[in-house]
This record gives sequence, structure tokens and C-alpha cells, in this order.
Amino acid sequence: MSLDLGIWLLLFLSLFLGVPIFVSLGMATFIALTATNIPLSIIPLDLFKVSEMFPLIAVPAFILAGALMERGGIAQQIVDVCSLFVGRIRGGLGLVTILGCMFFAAMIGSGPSTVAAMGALMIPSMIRRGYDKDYAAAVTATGGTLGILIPPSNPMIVYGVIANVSISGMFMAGFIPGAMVGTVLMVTAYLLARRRGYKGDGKRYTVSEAMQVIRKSIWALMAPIIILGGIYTGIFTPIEASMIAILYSFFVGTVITKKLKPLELWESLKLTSMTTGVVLVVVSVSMLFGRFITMYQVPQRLTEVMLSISTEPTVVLLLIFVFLFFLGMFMETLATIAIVTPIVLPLLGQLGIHPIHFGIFLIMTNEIAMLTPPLGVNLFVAMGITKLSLEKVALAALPYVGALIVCVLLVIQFPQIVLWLPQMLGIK
Amino acid sequence: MKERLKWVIDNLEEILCAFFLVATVILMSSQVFYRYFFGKSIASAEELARIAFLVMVYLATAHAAKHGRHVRVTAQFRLFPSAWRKYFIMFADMIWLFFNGVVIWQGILLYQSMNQFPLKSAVLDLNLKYAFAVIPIAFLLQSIRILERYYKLYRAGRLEQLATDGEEF
Repeated sequence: MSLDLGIWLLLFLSLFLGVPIFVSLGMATFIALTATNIPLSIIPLDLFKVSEMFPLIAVPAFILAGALMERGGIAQQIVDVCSLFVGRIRGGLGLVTILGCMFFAAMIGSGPSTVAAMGALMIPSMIRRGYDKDYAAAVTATGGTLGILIPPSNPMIVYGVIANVSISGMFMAGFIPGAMVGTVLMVTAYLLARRRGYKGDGKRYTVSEAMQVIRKSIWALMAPIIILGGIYTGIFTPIEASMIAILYSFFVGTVITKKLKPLELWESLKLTSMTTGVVLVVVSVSMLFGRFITMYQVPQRLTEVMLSISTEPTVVLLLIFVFLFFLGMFMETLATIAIVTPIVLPLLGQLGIHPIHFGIFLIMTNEIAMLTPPLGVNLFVAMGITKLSLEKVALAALPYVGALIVCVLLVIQFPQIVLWLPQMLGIK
Repeated sequence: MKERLKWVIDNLEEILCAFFLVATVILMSSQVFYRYFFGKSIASAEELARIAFLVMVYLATAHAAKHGRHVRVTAQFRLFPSAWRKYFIMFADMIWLFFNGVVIWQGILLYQSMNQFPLKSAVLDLNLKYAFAVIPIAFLLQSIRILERYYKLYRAGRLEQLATDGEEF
């Protein structure tokens, strides 16, 4: 048995024992290093490298922005506007939830935060209007997955850093697939609501009422325009945009809605620090793990195996999709991206798959991963709000998982869905 | 006074992270305004923000450890009687502490070697050995937090709670 096989086994054993993911990765690399003459000081040196992956600073920043928007009333304004447009349709509140998630996703970049923000508002109001709890939980958990597909997006930032792809390019590429997936999910939510016989909110707005809602929510409506507009016009970088998002939501929450008090600020900062610790340490240790991967030429060998099966990009992407689907049941988004990207990247070049196309494909498979048990972060957040069991929520989310799979297959088959917009705008 | 001190010690990571986060936000957004209105950028702002970010990541790691929130794969535990779970977690945490030990040990060695071969930052000419020292210090803090948590749970007779580690987000 070769040494590297032993290390893989050790890695799986340690994950199986419940060792935190970042420690498992670190230990595997440590053991691999002891078998070579590379000095162990590479461990702290590699951990230090997180400061070189500077765009990652946008990850905690967008989390903080999301927390401030949720507590500062911007999320509520979004819900008001979305009700105006789709509230009346059958199963309208489900549609409002998804549309609200799309909107919210255009301001922040995390899936679970989107579920938390929209779920806190929409789940209670759906239950009040007689929607079943499991429907409410599933539609929110699913809508929240758009948080990572519609720019800005934290996983896209991580992918951009690791794969050395333009983050602005990724952000543009996410636009059309985001709109597509949002539409597909709304249709799914509508069909499910029809079968269950849910009604809309029955509210009709006169023109002046509608204008009033829009005027009242103008601050929320401006947020995506400022954040995305600033990125696309080049006034600020995607990383700086996250800082602007914080300032903006802080300003609106303290000056306009006056809902942000010192306690809410402290809670938001604490939440940000917690999430940062959980998420970014995995990314930083995965850099270390990347050494082990390159030492044993894992990407090269994977490329050989894949190319021996097929040289057709579509087939290879399908195979990767199946693999990621199962991996996603057990792995968290950023950890998956941090580990998979360096392994697969060389293969992409060989097959002529555009790294932006692959990036969006990877993000979309991770949307599914957020909804598949036993580890589905969005399910967990929705469970927390509804107090339903994992099985119940996961089952109710199943039709949406089906819808997302269809979307991924479309993106595999038609790379232009992803690449058209960035290429139009001159990103190679 | 004593209570206030206890609060600060208990919330040390949160307080420091909040400070560095707010500092980063201020540094980087002033960068945007400065560039927009004056057409120049401040190179030192980004360098400071990089170091603040490094400190933040590893302090936040200790923060999450303090509450037992680091991501673990836990689905397989459903295969075993639930009483076994905490023993799995305890064993896993010993491996965790060992790994932290390796990081601390190597981090200190690296720090010492940087006394001989100083490394300066590009813009501000800061001695980077202090930034490197963050890693062993933060991992030491993290280990202390893990042990502290065990101690607190043991004192409260709630060691069972270990079984839920890594489940919530």
C-alpha cells in the first residue's frame, strides 16, 4: 500500500471520528510532511498565507452586512416590495420568499444568511396564513441557496482566489444563471402551492398604494444598485463593495429605520466573528492540504483517469457532478470549493472547459449541497426557525433539489448561459 | 470591576475580532473614497487590513472553538448509540489538541528563526515576526478555550452537550 493511500484513509477515518474538518485536513498534511524532508515550518508559513488571500476579507464583510440588513429593517422592506409584485398569485407567499431571497442575494453573498434573514420574516407569516410548516421551511431553505449564485457571492470570491479567476467576471457570470434558477424555483414553488391549495394574500394595491410601498422601501431597493452598480462600473472592487455594503446597511439601520441599537450591532459582530472562524479556517488549512495534493500529484492522476473515461467536457462535468452531489451531502460549501478547485483545475485546461463556466457549475452544485442531508446548512437554518425535524424539511425540499438538478444539467450542456454575459462585457 | 474583567476575558476573541473588523471596514472604505475623490490609493491601508484580517481569522477560530461550533462530519454518529457520541467527540478533540500543539510548536520555532532573518513588510516596513507570532498565540488561545469548555461543562455536569458539537451553524 502506498503512503498516500494510507493518508487518504487516515483523513477519512479522522473525519469519521468527528474531528473538525480543518483539523482533519491539517493532520493529514502533517503526517504526509513527516514522511518527506520538507521542514514542518511550512505549516505556520502556509497558515500565514491567509493574509495573501486578501479578497477573502469580503466573506466576513458580507456576513456582517447581511446581519445588519436583517436587523436594520432592510430585509423587511424587501419583503414589502416583493409582496407588491407576486403576493397575489396562488401560493404567493412562497413566491415572495424566493423573490425576496433573490433580492437579498443581490446584496450579500451567503446562503445560510439569506435563509436566516428571509426565514425570520417569511416563515412566521406563511404559517399565519395557513401554509404548512414544511412548505414554508423548504421554500425558504431553497430560496436561500440563491444567496451564493446571485452576485455578490462569498463562494465565488473563494473560487476566484483559489482558481485565480477574475472575481468581477464570476460576479457577472452568475447573473443569468441566478435569474434562471430563481425563475425555475418560483415555478416549482407555484406548482407545489397549487397542489396544496394555498392562496395568495388577496391584497390588491392601487397605484398610489404601490407607489407608497416603493417609496417607503427605497433604501432597500437602492442597496443592490449601489453594491452591484459600483462593482460593474469599476468605482470599487468586489472586495471594497463588501465594505460599502456594511456602511450602507449601517447607515440605513441607524439613521433611517433607527432599528440598529448597540445590542444589535454587538450581536451582528459576534455572529460575523463566529462564522468567520468556522468558515475561513477551513479555507486557510486547505492551502496547507493543497501541498499534500500537489506532492502526490493528485490532480495529474485524476486528470489521467478522467481522460481515460472520456474526453468529452459534458461527460466529464456530469461525472464530477455525480461526485460533488454525494460529497455535498457531507461537506460544507467553502470547504468543498477550497478542496475540489485545486484538484480539478488542471483537468479543465486539458478539456477546454472555461474556468468561469466551471466556477458557476461548482457554485450551483453547492446550492444543491445546502439542501441535501445529513449536512445541509440551509436546512439547518430553516429547521432552527420552524422547529421541524431534518427529515421533514429535507423531504419537503426534495422537489426543489430536482429543479436545481435540471438547472445544473442545463448549465453543463449550454456553457453560454454562463459565459455569454461576461464575454459580452469583454471578460475572457 | 471583577465582573467586568471576567466579561472581557470571556469575550476576548469577540471583542478583538469586532475591533479588527471595524478597523478594516474603516480602512478599506476610506480607501474607496480617497481613490474616488483624489484618484490615488493608499498602499499602507491595504497592508494594515491584510494583517488585521490574519489576526481576525485565527482569533475567530478560537471564538468558534470556545462554543464548540467548528464543522465536523457528524451524520455517521446516527449509526451508533447516542451515548457513544460524546466519547467520539472527546477522542476527536484530543487529536485536535495534538494538531494545535504542532502548530504552536512550529509557530514558535518560526518566530525564533525570524529573529535571525527579519522579514519586513513591503510598504510600512513593519517587522513581520509579530504578525507571524499571531498564529502560535491564537492556536494556544484556541487550545485553552477547548480545555476551558470541557472544564465548564464538566463542572456543570453537562458533558453530554459535547454530542451536539459541530451540528449547529
